[in-house]
Amino acid sequence: MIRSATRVLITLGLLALALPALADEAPSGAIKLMIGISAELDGVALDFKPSMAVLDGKKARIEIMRDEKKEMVLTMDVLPKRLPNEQVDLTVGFSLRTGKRTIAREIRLRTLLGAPGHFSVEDKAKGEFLRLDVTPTLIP
Amino acid sequence: MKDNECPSELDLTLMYDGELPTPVKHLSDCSRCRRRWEGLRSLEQMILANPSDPTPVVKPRPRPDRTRRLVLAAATFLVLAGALLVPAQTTSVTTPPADKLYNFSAEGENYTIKVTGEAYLTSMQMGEVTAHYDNDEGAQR
Repeated sequence: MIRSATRVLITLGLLALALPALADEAPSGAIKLMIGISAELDGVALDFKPSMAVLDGKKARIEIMRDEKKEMVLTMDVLPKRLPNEQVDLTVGFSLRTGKRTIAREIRLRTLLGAPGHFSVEDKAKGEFLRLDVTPTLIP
Repeated sequence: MKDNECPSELDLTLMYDGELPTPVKHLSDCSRCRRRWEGLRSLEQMILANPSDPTPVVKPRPRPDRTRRLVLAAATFLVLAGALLVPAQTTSVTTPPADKLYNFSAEGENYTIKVTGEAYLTSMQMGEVTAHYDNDEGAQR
């Protein structure tokens, strides 16, 4: 009887340990971010629209590199957090490097699920322009 | 002890070992005690003849009581759970999520897209070109 109880305890323990790992495999509840990036730096204009799935409350990074020379590197860190009333808080770190020039911004956006959040900045003297559109939606 | 009274086992052993006076008269009169005396002598000779091979003394293993067995079972469970839990936590803390690499081509340029973290790229659009990525088949495209 005691041996059976030990086996049951060990089995329950293994299950308790395995369940979180299984939960990590399933992306249920992830947030899909439809991102629009328009940037101009030293006369070089870029226009990308990546979409990515990110877990709620988890930080992710997307890097877009042109060619193997990496003459253009765009880096974007995103951290989406769901809030009550279908609000989404977005923390975005943006960086674009072309040649020797870099434009970087830390942005905090709050929008609703399904509604785009916008950010734009322009510095004509430096020849910099950046516009970000982020639309979060829930992945069922 | 009187001469006609048989000594106890303990007294007889002490007598044989010389710690009590030897009951010479009683041994000559009592055949039973003579056999007991001879038995002690035989035992002594057997021991002296096999000094390196003493009769092993086997003590019965005490059977653990119920509480002790429950404690052992709980301890076993905790050790097993701990051994499994610690590496799992260490892995989740120290091992960074694998990078996912995607290829994208548009307007005569090739791009490499790297996604880090618990995330994946679903699509990429540049101008009129749109690529969709099926992450079930692997991120590398």
